[in-house]
Amino acid sequence: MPRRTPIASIAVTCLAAAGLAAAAHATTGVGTGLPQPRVDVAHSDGDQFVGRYAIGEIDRRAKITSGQLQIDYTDTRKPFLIGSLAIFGYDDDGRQQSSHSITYPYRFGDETLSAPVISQGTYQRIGALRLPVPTDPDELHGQLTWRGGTYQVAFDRLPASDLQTELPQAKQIDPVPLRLRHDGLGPTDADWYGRWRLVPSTADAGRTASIYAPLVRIASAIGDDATVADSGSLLLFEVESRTEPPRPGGMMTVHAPGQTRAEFLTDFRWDGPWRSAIVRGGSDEGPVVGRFLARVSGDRLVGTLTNGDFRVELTFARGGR
Amino acid sequence: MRRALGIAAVVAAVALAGCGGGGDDGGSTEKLSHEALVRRANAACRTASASVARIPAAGSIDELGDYAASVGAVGERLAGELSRLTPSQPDATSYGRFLDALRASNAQLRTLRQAADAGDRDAVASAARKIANAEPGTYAAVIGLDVCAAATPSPDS
Repeated sequence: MPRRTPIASIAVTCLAAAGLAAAAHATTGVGTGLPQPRVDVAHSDGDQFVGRYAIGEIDRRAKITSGQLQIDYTDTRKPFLIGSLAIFGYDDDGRQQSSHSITYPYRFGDETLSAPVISQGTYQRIGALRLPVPTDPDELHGQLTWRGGTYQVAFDRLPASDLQTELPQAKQIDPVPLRLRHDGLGPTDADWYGRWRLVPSTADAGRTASIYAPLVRIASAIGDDATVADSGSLLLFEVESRTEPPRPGGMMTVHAPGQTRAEFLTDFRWDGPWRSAIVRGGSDEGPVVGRFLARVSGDRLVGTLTNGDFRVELTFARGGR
Repeated sequence: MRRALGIAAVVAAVALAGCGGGGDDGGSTEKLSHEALVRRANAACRTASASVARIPAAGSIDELGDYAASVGAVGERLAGELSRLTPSQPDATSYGRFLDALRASNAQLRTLRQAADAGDRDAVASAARKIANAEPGTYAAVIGLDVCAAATPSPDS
């Protein structure tokens, strides 16, 4: 029996439990007892995310059946972005579970709004939310890190005035298919050829740490068990063959604390905004050692390189040496 | 915290200002012009940055303590060298804040080393965040020390 929860009760529960001083005002922001974030999200960047949303689609592995996200600026003297996230689902044993969290503090960089997901009960970080700039004002597509996994999620905007509608059930979707539908880089391979540069992540903890930057990056990676690339490039080109039609090939270099990797990309496929490639070791005819999966976001490729235990999120933009 | 840093910087600046001197690029007690300060501080940072970049990176928490100790030695040496430079009055406060950020980073670095030696990943991550939040690069940029402001590239393994 799926849970049907009126949206109004979630909004009130979330914001009250978050310690927010005032209930939600969809158009006027919220008050807060939380400290001012160190980094502001400008209205020009944040306004496009403000609103109430229901989870429309979610990777079925997340075991989330429905949920609501509300993002708004506070009513404080110096307004900042804050969100509440209500999630309903079930655990590995099939027991129904609900969770009310805060998404705070928000950052905006690499054309993406992101925030940790903070438990309202313990104020511990329990996940993360990443939302690229929406192409449709009524939808947010992003990634939710939740209970040890990272899942694709889509939010549908809810009417600001309607607090009585029952929260819709989220459509359960399969993770991005291992094999995308089409061969190549896109409808026209040549459109993608050329050099792409790695856009350093604003998540680079070492960027203001001067000579301590490598230590901060390495210690953060070891402490948080995450790798952040600080430079790199991607070269996409046409591979010619006497016996076969031309096909796309790629060479990726990624420099992260403690290692520089050169990866050969072959077997490109695409499906809508998704792009995938096989990662080979040693040469473009070497053994399969990993996978690169990316999503086209504006004029950028935002994806993940996995090679054994090495996993790093990468954003590439056109250009570079 | 910023206010505390600022007060410490002012105290340091007053102490430094009391050392006297008037040359442009001279000994340790002479007040340096902005250009001379930038030149000498950047030179010290360039040497320190190159030293840090040559230290083989830690690949695990077991190696992190020794790595932090090596970086810490460079950081302490740099802070010592930069402390011997005497800025002129207009630069004194900002330069003092930069030095405070370096010293705060060095203090956290010692904490990080202890956490790594104890195998405490949460404490390692916390100390790393505190070094990042000290923002020595940001304070260096404020005073125009572009080499000191730049994040040192990560070493290869």
